[in-house]
Amino acid sequence: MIKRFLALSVAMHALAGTFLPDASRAPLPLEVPALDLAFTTASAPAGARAEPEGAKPPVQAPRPAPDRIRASAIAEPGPAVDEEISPTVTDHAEAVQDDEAESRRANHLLSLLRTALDEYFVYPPLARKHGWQGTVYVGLRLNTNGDLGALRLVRSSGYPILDRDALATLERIGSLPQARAWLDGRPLETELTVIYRLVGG
Amino acid sequence: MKQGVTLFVASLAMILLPFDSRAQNDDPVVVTATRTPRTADESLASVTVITRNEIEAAQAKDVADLLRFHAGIDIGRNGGAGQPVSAFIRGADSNHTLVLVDGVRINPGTIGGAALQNISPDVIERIEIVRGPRSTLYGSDAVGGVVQIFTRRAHEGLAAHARAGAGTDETRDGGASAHYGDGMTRFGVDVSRFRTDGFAARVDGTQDSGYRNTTVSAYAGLGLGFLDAELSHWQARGNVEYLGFLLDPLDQDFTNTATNLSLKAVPAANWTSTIRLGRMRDEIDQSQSADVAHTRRTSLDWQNDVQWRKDHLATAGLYVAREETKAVSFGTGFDIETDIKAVYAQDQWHSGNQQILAALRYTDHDAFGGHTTGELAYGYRVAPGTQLRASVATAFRAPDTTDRFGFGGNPDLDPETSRNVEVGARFGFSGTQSLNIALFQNEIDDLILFVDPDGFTGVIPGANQNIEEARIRGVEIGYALSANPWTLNIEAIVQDPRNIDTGRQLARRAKRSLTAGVRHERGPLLIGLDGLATSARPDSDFSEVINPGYGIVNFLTQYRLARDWIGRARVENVLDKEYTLADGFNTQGRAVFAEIEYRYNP
Repeated sequence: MIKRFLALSVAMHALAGTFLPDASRAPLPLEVPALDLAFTTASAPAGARAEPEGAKPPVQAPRPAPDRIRASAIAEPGPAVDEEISPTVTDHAEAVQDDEAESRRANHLLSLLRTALDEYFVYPPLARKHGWQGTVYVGLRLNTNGDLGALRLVRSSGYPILDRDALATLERIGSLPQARAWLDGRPLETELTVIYRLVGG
Repeated sequence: MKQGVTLFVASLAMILLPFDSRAQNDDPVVVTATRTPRTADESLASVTVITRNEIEAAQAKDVADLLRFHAGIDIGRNGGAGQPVSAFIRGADSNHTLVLVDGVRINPGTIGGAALQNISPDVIERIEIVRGPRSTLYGSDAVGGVVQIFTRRAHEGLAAHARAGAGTDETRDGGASAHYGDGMTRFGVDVSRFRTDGFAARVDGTQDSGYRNTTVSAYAGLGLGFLDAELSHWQARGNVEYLGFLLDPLDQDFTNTATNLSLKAVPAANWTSTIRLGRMRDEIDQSQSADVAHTRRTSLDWQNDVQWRKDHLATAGLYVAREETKAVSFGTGFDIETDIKAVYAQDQWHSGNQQILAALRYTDHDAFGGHTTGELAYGYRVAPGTQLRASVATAFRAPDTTDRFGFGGNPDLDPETSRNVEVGARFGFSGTQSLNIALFQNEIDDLILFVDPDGFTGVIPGANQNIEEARIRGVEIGYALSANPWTLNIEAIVQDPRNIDTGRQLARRAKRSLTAGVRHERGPLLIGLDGLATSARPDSDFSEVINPGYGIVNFLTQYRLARDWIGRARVENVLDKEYTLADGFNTQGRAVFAEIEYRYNP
């Protein structure tokens, strides 16, 4: 009984891989129902419509939580992946493994960022004087050569000076050459959370 | 079958539900900094902060009792509660301490220092004490130091309390408050009533000197992100009894108020602009005669903070004030209006381990024309938790109206001026201990003194002159330990407050002082001891009387009786020590006080 429904479940997941814009495969020229919103990010929707060469749908750094499958991975300008989609249990397990690897990769890259950032970040004196605190969400792309690009404010902390400081500091850092090895020729689009907190007093 | 369907639907749901596509950043970048006191940067000046929790546990009857247990702040009293208090910070005069309530300077323009005896701790949220000159930002009187008092404000949500207590000498004390705050609005009111029969203020008197004080603090504020507006009002009114020259019972009514309207805008991401409109009153009306001393001051301060680079914070401001002073004393008096204008600018550069602060103020005062003061400070962070600093600053005290038009009045007086040089170090250990050391030298010039060259009976009338010079050199040491359940605070000062002309030690100021505060908090119980030991002090510049050194100990306890009920008790002068602060005046013997509080905090 369980086996039957497991197979059915796997089949559904495989189908999802076929019809939904799982960007780990080359975008298939299929019309996809409104389900594509499931895999879009705030910034750039990745539809299953044919995308121009070089367009990179935003990448998500998945949580290492095996009970949720995320549209992970990154489109690359290189050759399209052309593996057959066969609804087997093995493929399903592989997909989960890929996601976990993605998750580890993204997390490692983020911790690289954090080490660099810790050295560069200084609490803006105006914010410190007025007791302003908050959390800034910054979107960024780590290019294959380690350069930080596509810096943008995803969500404001409520204080423009904190927002500006987070973006300006990332701009000042400019590049993380040590990330190149982990990037493995694939850029990483991700979001960074920067918390400004005052202590004591 | 059923569980299969559930599994199927669940897995379908997992595909179809919109995922949070943001990178789940479980480990964000955290940028921290210590909250800086509003009065001065702790890494460049000697700052003491007294928090609300400490104020509640201390159960002091007025602010002077809170300031007392910090070495380096000598407190003089002419009797018990409500009697005039003098505060000498780092050996400077009592009118060299600037006191602010919610940003409004409450020092009188008539004569003397701020009425610390009338400021009830019940309505105070926080006190910041900065030792050393601060005239460049705060103007006149900040020669020895600044005491900045912030009244209570709402935290999140609704909070209320009611409190009642009683103690020795028929003391009755009670209060209540209600506050509300959310992201956008805040408002509240605090009321406190204190009365006591007191004890005879004068040593040779038999009549008790009672005191009554009703204090109200209220505020309303609105925060709209780009604009923040707040209106606040603090007032203390009451009556204090004392004994006249012939030990005749006298009393006077007092009114102290500070009202402030503050508008803060953020015109650009890196620029804040704040306008503060303030009004204060310090009024004494003697009941048995027509004698009065009134100060009313209206002031406008416009301050701009601009972070013009990531490592530079500049401040520039304008200050204008009109002071109305009126006094009648023994039939003569004055009624004078004084205008003050000032412009000030400061830049603070902070990069890596170093910081530099430079500031200038130009004051245009009706009494003496123009005067410039400045400050230059340097800080160096040797290691995390270890900070060195050095600074030089000038300050001034404008002659008050009594100096200019009172007894011996001289309208051509110059301001008293000072130059302070200090170096300091702060060592922090493992986040639980800290050690502060400061060495300072404050030279105060042009001190105003009544001079009568040929004596009282002579032909030439005496007059106030800028004639005196004082120099105070000293070393301050402070140690703080915070290791649950213990808190320990020890402060010591060794100083030489000296009149350069006469070579005498300045009156009412001790050369050596030691204070210690210990708190033990476990569960619902808090117990504490406050101790003060101070060396001998000359009583006045005009006599040879020396008030001997003394030590006193206060005991305090606080117990959380139930979720919303707190009980407190304190024993003042546990050892019932007899000592003198002012020759001829009594001090508090052993006294007991207890109170109970109900707190509403849903």
